[in-house]
Amino acid sequence: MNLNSVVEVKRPASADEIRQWRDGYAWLAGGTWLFSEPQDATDTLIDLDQLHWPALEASSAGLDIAATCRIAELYRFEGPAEWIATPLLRECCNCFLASFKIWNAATVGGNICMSLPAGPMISLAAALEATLTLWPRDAAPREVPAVDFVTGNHTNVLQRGELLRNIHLPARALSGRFALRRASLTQLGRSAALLIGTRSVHSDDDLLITITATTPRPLQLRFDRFPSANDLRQAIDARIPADSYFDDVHGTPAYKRHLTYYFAEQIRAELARPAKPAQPGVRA
Amino acid sequence: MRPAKFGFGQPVRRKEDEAFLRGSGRYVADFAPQGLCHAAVLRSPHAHARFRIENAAAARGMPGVRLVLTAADVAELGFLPCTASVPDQTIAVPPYPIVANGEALHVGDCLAFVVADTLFQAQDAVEAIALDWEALPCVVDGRAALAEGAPRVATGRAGNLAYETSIGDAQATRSAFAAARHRVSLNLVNQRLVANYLDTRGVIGEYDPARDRITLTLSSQGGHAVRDMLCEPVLKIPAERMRVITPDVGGGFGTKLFPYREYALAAVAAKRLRRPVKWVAGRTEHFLGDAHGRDNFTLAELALDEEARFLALRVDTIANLGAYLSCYAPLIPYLGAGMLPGVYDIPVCHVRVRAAYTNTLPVDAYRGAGRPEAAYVIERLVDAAARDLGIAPDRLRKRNFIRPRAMPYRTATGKRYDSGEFSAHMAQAQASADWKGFNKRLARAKKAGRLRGIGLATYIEACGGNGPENAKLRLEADGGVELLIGTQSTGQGHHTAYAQLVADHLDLPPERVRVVQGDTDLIATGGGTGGSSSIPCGGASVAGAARKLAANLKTLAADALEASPADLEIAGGEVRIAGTDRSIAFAAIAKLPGADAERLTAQDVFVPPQETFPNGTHVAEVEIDPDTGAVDIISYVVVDDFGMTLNPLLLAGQVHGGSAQGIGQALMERTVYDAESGQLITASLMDYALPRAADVPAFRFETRNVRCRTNPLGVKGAGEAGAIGSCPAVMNAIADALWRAFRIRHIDMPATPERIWAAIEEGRRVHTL
Repeated sequence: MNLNSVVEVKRPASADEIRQWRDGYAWLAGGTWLFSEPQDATDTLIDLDQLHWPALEASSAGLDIAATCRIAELYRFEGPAEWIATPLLRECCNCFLASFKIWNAATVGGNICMSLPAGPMISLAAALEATLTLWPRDAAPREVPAVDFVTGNHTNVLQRGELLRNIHLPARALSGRFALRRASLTQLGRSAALLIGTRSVHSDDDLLITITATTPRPLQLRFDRFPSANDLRQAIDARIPADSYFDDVHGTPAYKRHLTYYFAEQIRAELARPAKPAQPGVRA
Repeated sequence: MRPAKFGFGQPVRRKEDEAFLRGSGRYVADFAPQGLCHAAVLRSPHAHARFRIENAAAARGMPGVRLVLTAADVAELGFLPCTASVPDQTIAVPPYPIVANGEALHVGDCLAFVVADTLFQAQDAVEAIALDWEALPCVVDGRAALAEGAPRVATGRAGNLAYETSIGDAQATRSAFAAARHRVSLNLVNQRLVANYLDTRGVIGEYDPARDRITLTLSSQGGHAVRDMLCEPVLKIPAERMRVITPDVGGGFGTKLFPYREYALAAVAAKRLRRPVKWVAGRTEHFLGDAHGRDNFTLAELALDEEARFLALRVDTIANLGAYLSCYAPLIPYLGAGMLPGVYDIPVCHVRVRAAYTNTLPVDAYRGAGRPEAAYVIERLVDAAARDLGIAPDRLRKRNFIRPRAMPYRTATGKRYDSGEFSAHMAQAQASADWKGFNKRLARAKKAGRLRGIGLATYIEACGGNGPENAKLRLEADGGVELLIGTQSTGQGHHTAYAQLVADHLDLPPERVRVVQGDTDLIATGGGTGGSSSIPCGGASVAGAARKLAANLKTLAADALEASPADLEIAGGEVRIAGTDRSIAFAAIAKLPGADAERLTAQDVFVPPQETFPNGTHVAEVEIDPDTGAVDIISYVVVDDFGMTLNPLLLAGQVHGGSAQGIGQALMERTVYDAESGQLITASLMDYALPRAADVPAFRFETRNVRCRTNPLGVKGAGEAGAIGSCPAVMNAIADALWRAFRIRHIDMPATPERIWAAIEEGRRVHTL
C-alpha cells in the first residue's frame, strides 16, 4: 500500500549522510512490512538501496550478510564444503510464509529488525551465533550477539536512528552440525515453534539449543557437556518460566512449552548420534 | 444423436483456461474506464461504539478528494435488504444502513466512503478523518449474546435474539426419547469461516446522465439479483435504470451472491461526480468487509432402540448471524435444520434454532450454506452413537439408512428425497479405501508410535433448486452459436459444461459455442449461481434451448434441402439428409431467406420442481503424531451420487475444491474475535490458516450415480458437496484415532495440533488415573 504520511524519500549514498535523526524517519530496506500497513508516525523514508552493500561476503572468518540482503539471495548462497551448516540458511528461508514478492524483496535485516517471535532470520542468526553490527547515528559502530538483539515481541536493542548494518556468521558455527524442528498450522505458515540445535564438529561435548517462536524473544541454552534428556528439560525450566511462553492464535503457552520440550529433546537426540546429513524440519 | 467427443459425459478440458493461464482473464480490478476515480472506505476500529465524524469538511478539502459520503450524505438511501424469510416467522429485520449512522456495530463497519482522483488520495483522506468515539460494551459469541445480562448488540434493538423457530414434532420426539433404550448426545461447534476467494470483491460505478442510467461492473455470482436488491430497496430507482456487468470472477463460494454497501456507494458517487468510481477490497478488507460463514453451536441428541435403530433426533442450535441481518442469513440455519436427519430413517425429530445478533461481521451463505452444518451434526452424532453402543460406524449406518425402495422418501423435517442408494456408495467407498485392511495399517502405525484412525461420512444435501433459469441460444452468421444465460461462472467451468450440453443437440465443438454471462442488459433474467443450481437448473435450460434450436435449424434446412425435417440429422456443424451427402452448413442456414432472428434463436426456461439431493460417502484415514498433535491425512476417498456426470473433469474439480475447503475447516481455519474488545484477531492470512496445496491429500474420487428424477438431465448439484462430506469424514477419522488410543470421545473443529495434543494430554491423564 501507499504510505500516505510519507512526504520525502531520501536516498543517501552513505549512511553517514543521515547524521541527525528525528521523529518521523524510518530506514527502508525491502519495505515489505513498511508498505503493508499505514505508518502514521513516519514522514520520511531513508532508502538503503543506494548504499549498495554487498549482499553476501564469504571469507575464512565466516559469512557476512548485509542487512539489505534479500531472502532470495540468501537462499541461493552456496558455502564451501566445510560449512556443513549452510543448508540451515535455506531451511530458515523456507520457514517464511513468503509470497514471491516477499521472497524477492524482503531482507534479512528487515526480518531481524521486525523482531517478531517467529522471525526465521532471527532464529538463523541466533542459532549460528551471529554478531550483529549496528551503526548508531552519533557514535562508533557497536556489535551485539544476535541472540541478545531481540528483547521481546516487536522490540529490540536498536537505539533511536540506529541501523543494522551486518550479520556476521562465524565460520566456526557454519562448520558445525545442526538440527531444526518447526511447528506451524499449515506447512507453509507462520511458525508456532522454531528450534535449532547446533554442535561443533570438533567437540563431543557442546550443544547449543536456540529457542524461537515459542517465546517472545530468542533464548539459548548452551551446554559445555552434552546434556542428558533430564538435564535439557531442567535447563529449559530454569530458563523459561511456564508463563513466559508466547501466547497467540498459533498456540497457547502450554502448547508452546510442550513443543519446546519435545523439539529440544528431538534435537538433542539427533545431535547425540554420530554426524549424518541433517534431517529436514518437520511440521506439527 | 450423441457426439462422442464433446457431449454429455465426456471429459472435455476447460475451454476457459487458456485465457486464464495466459493472463488475459479480465477481473474487476483490471478495468479502468476513462476519468476513473478511486474510493476507500473508512471502517470502524471498534466492535461497538457511538461515533461522530468531526472533520468531514477537512477531508473533502484534501488534494484530489472529490467526495466524502457519510451517513448524512446518503440519508435518502434505503437499507441493505434481507430478502430471506423463515417459514412461520416474522423477523423484525433491523436497519442495515449503507453507512453506519452514529453507531458502529462491528469492527469493519462502514463509516464513510471517500472518493478521490487516486486511490492514495482517497486513503489519505480516510486516514485524515477524525472521529469522536464512545466505546460501548460488545459481545461476539452467539451463546454469550443470548445469555441474561449480555450487552446489547445495538442500541434500540429489543434484544440480541433475531428469531427462534423449530421444526418437527416436539412432543413425539420427547416421547421417543423417554422410551428409548439408548440416548446419545454431543455438543458441537461449527466455527466461523472467511471465504478468502483469490479475487477480492470490487466494483466500478459509472453514470450516463443522458439516459440517467447507472452501470456497475462488479465481482458477483449473478448481476440480476444484485441489481434488483440494490435498485428499488436501496437506491429507490427502477431496475431498468441500472446495468450490472460481471466480468471474470475468481471465486465466490456463496459470499458474492448478495449486494454490499460499496456497490450502492459506488453508484451514488458515480452519479454525483459524473465520473466512474472504483473500489476494490484488499485482503484485510476482505476479512473486515465481506460476510463470513457458519458459526453455530449445537447440542444434538439421538435416541435408539435396543437394536440400535434410530428412534428420534433432537437438535438445539444457536446460530451467530453477526451485527446485521445479511441477505440470506436468517434462512441458512433453517436450511440446515431441514437436512439434519441426513440419509437416515428417523421417525421423529425436533430441531430448535435460535439466531443471535453479535458485534461481529454479518454471516451469510458460504459453500453449502446450512447443509455442511447439518451433515456435520448428524454424521458426528452417528459416530458418537456407534462408539457409545460399541457398534461399528458403518454397521450402524447401514442399519439405519433410508432404503432405496423407500424412495421417494419424506424426512421428519419435511424434505422429499427422490433417489439415493446410500448403502451402495458407502460400500464402494469402503472398498476403494480398503476399509477391511485398516487393522493391519493400524498395527503398523502403532508400532511406529503413531495414532491412526479411519472415518466416514455418508452425507446428503439439498441443492439445485434455485430457479427458474432462462437460456437463450442464437445461431451466428459464422455457424457458431451464442448462449446467453443468467447464471454466473466464478471458476466452475460453465462455458465448457454448457458447450457440452449444446453439443449434444448441435454437434458443435466447444470453441464454436460462445457463452455470454454477466450482463443484465444482454441477458434479460438470471438467477445467478448459487446452491449448486447452474447445471441442474441452468443446464436443463441450455439443453432445452439447444434442442429447440436444433429443431429450428432442421426446419430451415428442410426447405433448402427439399427434404422432410424427419429425414435430417445434425452433425459437424451442418444439417444433412441422413444417409446421403446432401447437407447445408449452419453458416449457410443463417443466410437463408427465411432465417429471421426468431428462427435462429431458441429459448428455454427450466423451473426446478424441487431441490436435487446429491449424496455420497467420504472416507478419510489419518495418522496423528501423539507428541505434537499433528494430523496427516493418509488417504481420502470420495464416492458421490451426482445423478449423472456431465463432465468428469469438471466434476472432480468441484469435489476436490470443496473437499479442500472442508479439510481446511476441519483442521485449521478459525475466525477468532477477542471476547473483550471484539477485535478480529485473525484478519490476515498470517493468522487465519488457509490450507495450501501441501496441506491437502491426493483425492480418490469416484461416482456411483443414481439418476435424479426431478430434472431432465438427471443430474444432482455438485458444487458444494465436497465441502459437506469432508468435515465430518476428517473429524470422524480423528475422533476414531483418539478413541482407539485414549478413549477420547470428542474434539471440535478445527482439530489443530494444539487441540489434539491437549485432548491427548487429558486422555493420558484420565488413563493414568
